[in-house]
Amino acid sequence: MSEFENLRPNLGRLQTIGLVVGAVGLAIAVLGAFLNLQTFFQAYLFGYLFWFNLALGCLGLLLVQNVTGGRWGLLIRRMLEAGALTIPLLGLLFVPFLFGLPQLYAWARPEALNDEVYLTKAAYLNQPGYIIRAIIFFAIWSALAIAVTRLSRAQDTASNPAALSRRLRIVSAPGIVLYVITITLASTDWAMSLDFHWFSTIYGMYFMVSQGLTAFTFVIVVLAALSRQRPMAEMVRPPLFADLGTLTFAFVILWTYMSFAQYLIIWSANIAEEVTWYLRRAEGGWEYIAIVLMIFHFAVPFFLLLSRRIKRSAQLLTGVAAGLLIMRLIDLYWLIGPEFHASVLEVNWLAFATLAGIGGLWLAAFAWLLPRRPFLPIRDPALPMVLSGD
Amino acid sequence: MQQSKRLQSYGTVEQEEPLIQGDHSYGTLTTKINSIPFVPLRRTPIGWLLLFSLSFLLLMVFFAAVTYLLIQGVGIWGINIPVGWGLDIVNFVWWIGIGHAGTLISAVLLLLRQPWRNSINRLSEAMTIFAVACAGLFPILHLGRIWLFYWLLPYPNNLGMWPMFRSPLTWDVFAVSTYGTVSLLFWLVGLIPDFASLRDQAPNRARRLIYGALALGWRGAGKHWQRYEMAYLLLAGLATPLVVSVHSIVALDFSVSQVPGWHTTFFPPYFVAGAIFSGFAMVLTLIIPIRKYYGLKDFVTDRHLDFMAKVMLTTGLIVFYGYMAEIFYAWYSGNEYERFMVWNRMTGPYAPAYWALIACNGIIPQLLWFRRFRSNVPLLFVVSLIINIGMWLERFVIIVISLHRDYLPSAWHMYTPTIWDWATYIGTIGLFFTLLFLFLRFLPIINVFEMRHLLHEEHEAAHRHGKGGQHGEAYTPTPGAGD
Repeated sequence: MSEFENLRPNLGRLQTIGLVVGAVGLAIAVLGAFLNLQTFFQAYLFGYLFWFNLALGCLGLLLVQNVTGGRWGLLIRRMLEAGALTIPLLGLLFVPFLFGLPQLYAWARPEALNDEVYLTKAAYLNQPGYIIRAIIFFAIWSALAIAVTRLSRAQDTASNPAALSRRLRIVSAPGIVLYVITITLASTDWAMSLDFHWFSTIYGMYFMVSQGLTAFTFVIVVLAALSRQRPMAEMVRPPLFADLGTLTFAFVILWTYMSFAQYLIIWSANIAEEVTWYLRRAEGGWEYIAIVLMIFHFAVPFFLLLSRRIKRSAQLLTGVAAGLLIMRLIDLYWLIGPEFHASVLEVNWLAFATLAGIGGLWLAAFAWLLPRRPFLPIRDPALPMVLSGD
Repeated sequence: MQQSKRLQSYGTVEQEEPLIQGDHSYGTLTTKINSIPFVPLRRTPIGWLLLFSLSFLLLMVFFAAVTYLLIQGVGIWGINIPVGWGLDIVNFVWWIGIGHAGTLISAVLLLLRQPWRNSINRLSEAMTIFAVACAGLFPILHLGRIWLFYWLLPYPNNLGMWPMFRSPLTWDVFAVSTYGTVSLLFWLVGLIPDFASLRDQAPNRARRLIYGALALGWRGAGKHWQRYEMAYLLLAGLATPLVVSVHSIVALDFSVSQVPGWHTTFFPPYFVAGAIFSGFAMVLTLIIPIRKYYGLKDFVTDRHLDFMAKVMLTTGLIVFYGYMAEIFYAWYSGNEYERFMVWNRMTGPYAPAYWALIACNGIIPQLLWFRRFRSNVPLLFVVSLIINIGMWLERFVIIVISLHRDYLPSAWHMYTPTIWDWATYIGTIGLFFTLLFLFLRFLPIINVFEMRHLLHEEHEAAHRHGKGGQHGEAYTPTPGAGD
């Protein structure tokens, strides 16, 4: 697909910048680790989970797109595939956690053995279990990502592309089930267990919705950037942005729905084991973060995304998407930060270093993976309709 | 542009089965659907008469049960402390859940531009209204002194009474009444052009007058259509949040409490998924025999059933995820009451209900993964019936099992529904089917003008893909056949 050659230099630049930022960020983070190991791990978890959510969001949306079809997904499928293919890299970046579990999780410290509640769930929440599960998760996610991208790639040269669409459906549908199960457990292990007394059954779904939202907003930003040039400029039309905007809107509402349902139910029942989670987030400055989330993660994007004019404009929609990406960061910080700094809102500079370090590497990988295949699934049977339909 | 034309040549267009089978024109389509209500009263089909009589008989059972309830009070039911909510609330949630498929099909699928909704939306909207009517009765009957139900509303009064706005039970009043109102409006607005078509074709004066009054002076003018489209779209926009909000609030009735088995944070999305699951099951249960009896297989095709089966599979998996998450997090919580709740469900006195629920909603719907089973219509019908039962059991498991053994063993007590519980339940089934059979007899089951629009689009699509001949003749509007 020589038409797409002129997109390569930009991605190449992104790759170089990503590598430099990633190397510098991680170097600073390692330096920080020598200063304070615990702070380093806390910051690393934050930075890691943000990019993890993006990659897994790409995988989740990709699986859904393969099953349901729909014009929203076809032109972004290769971006989702590139995002999903970064999962092995994230698996590599997960390795530091294996050496810092006691730094992060109270249940991994010896004192936990004196805790009655911990003993009831020690069969699940223990260091070997955590590590084995993480290995299984990454094996499943990587296998899924590689399987669907391979099939999708094979479709580009297949003589019967419709048969491959069918095979993609057959792999992706059970893939969604695996994705849901693994994300539920992974979110429990990695984030919920920071307070191992606390539990909430909606947490996994909340994570999945967050991942979908992160991936959508990221893809909008990338798509808008790529479509400034030919040939994408000719293919990506306002209706596609309108569709992506509407789906982002739906995910904003879903995020709000999940967050509010959890809050209302826990607040209303006011049970000591549960409500402490919110009490920690309602003092010492964290309550302002909650208000910021209500306004800028819900109200503002809600009203902006109602507008057809905004959704159809690549520039305006990118603005909203970029804002939402920042809110994703803040929401994630609000989700895990209070477990480390309960009484007072605190942001350590290391959090920025890990975020930039992991993010630089992630973006470099993304920019490397994206142009390794045609930018569009060129032989997908639905593509002509998507390109011709307005 | 040249680029995209080149890209178009890369792929081949996937051919799909048309959503309208057979060789239909505007005329045959209209005549086929309108002929059902036009059957003269004296020639009412015997099968319809029998089934309607049976439903009406059950409705009489309902009236008898309610009359006795009004004389005696709710003591005739099996409810007592600790199980203060019994079959009445189980049935309330069951019926209101069933309604959700109608709203999803008519509003959400309209906004998502899914053309397969067009032949099933009328029936499923009717189902929604009848189901909400049945659902709404139960909480009111549960009040005991039903003549005081208006105390639930916030109105100025000198009793010093005001509803407790922190309680989801109060939200229910608003949620359900809003839902009923919007559903009814949506249904009626959608019926107006069809009423007009019935009026114009009516075989006698009485029908012309009745359908004419219902058509509200519709003449099919361009202005009418323009306003109609706008109103319909706005109502769809209004109805869409209701698909989520009503059952979310029903879920909050339970989850804001502290009862183990009720208090869990994922109840709202899980209830919504369950509602859509049960609603689609009910649509299938109704539409499979109806399309056979009235010969509507050209309009409600096997592809429609396949779509509905897929929606059922998806929502069923969410519900199943809910069951599994409930077990896992009850264990993970380390809380002895949470753990006991699950253990008691699995091994307690109501364990058969729990395992039947897992079989009905968790295991059997997994058949729908396979096209072979989805295209087997009798099997699909059986599965839909099983899901209807499963969703009823789910509410029974949640409500009764959670209540009968909560924190203090000294307060534990069994719950057994009495004959009056069952009579009320069976009675509302009678009410539902009475209304449904009246609908089938006197109104167009399928939205005629939307189907004509769909016919037009299917023709256009066929034409675009170089198959112009297939619907070529059929597409020509037939003069004098309701145009």
